[in-house]
Amino acid sequence: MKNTLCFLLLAGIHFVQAQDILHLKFSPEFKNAALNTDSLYLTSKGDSIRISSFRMYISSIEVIYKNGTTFKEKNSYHLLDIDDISSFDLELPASINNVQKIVFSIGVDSLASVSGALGGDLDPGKGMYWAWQSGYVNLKIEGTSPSCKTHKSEFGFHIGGYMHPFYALRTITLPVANTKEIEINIDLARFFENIDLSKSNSIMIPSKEAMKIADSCAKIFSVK
Amino acid sequence: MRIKKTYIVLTFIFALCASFAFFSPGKNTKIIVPKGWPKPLYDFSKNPLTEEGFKLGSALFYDPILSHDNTISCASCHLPFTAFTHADHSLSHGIGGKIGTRNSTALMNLIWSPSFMWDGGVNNLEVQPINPLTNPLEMDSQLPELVLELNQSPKYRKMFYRAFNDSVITSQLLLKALAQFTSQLNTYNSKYDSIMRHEKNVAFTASEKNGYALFKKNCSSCHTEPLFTNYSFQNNGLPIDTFLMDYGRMKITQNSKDSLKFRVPTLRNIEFSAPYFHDGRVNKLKDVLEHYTTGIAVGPTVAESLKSKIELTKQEKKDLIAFLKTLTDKYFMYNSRFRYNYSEVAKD
Repeated sequence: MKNTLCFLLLAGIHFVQAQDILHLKFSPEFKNAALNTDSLYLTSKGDSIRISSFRMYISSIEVIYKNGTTFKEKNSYHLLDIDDISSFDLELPASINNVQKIVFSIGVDSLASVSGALGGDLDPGKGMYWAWQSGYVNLKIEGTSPSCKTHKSEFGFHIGGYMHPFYALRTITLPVANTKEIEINIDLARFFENIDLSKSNSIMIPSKEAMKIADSCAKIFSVK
Repeated sequence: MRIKKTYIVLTFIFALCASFAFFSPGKNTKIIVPKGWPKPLYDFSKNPLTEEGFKLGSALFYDPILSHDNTISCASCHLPFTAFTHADHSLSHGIGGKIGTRNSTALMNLIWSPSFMWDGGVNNLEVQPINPLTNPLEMDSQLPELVLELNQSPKYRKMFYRAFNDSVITSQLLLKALAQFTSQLNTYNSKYDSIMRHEKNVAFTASEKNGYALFKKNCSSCHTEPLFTNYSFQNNGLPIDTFLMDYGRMKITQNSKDSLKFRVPTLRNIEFSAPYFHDGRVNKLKDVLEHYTTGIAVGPTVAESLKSKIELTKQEKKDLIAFLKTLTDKYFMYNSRFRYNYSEVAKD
């Protein structure tokens, strides 16, 4: 009995080991400094800012190989949250050899947005769900800046929307070198490049302005 | 010795499997779709109905534990006696006497509805409750705290286990449980329905018959049979309330074409679901008809069907109201299954 159990256990471990794990590591930064919620950063528009919250959905991850095959992650929704830095490290049960490109989306697709109450990273209690206008916030950046003439100098960008004409999901394709670990920079300096915080400091609904910011969200990623 | 041990282990595994089978949700609750009605839009495959799920949803619906200070429940604004709306209150009330901005809607035939709330901002029955649960003017709860509180309740852990095979309560399961209840609040047994089904010994009176003809001529383009709504968004000519400044659907679409448009409500059980309109501004059916005949504010977004004046004589108004009362479904209104404490009464 004992022997049988041991055998099953070892076989199980062996089976897991036999699978490749492709590490996908996102590194949140501001220019070339690591992003955290304590530091002061200077945007290219000249606003000094502190970031108190940064959360985003990475979804529909695909790994495209040189031989033309593709790995598509099932149920691919990941909430990355600066308060839980381990959430930026993803593991995919995909082959690590001959990777050519990686494709992913920022945000939650329309199918998941209309599918009722979901769980895991899509749990509506995660603070990334709009109750009054069903749908997920794809990306949330909050903080303070003396440039903001607002209550407590706060700014907040809640970028989302799954319905035309305010469809905020953006898909990113990045070429990658053949490696066991793919490291992708998220540079929030680029997010603030076109934002003048004295004029634009609060976006909380799917709107024209939110779509412009969604476009710039697509530019914050680069491969290390 | 070894054989004995194996037997013990096997017996244990068997007992475990058997207990799962015993508590596994039985698919014993069926939804009736009346003949000639459209297919329900709610996806039951992701939340198969069970009696245990219904009991749990019912217990939650009537439990003030869902509000921040444990003072109000869903039923505070959605009472079964009034077709699951709040009679005598034009705007819904929340905790601490706070007052919301809209008239609570009657909860009926929700599985046929493509959208929820007066502005249609909610896209699925399961996620609708997040609004009243978290709105600071209503129940003012936070989902993570609420889920924590429910997990501390042995009663609910047991009920969730029986309903979903899982005693760890999540916001997803809480919302699915509420949908087990609300998806079954269906009404299709009014006098009107009996007549449409050609049942014996039931017929419109002369007044109701004339009312039905007037209804078909003047109302049915939006309040379309058999659900008595086409679920569209319309400006029904109500002048804006200058205090509330509620532009309805435009808040959701950001499109000025949707200014002052609200979801067309069903007319079923309208006899009991006063007050009427999105802000509950009138209390009597005769006042509703007064609005449609003399009170239409013709703005740029007003419904096409209301641009030309609707004229009704005094008798015609009476007839129309007589017809509207044939939409009252007593089986629905007085169904003990939908009442408070059903889960207690129906203990197995």
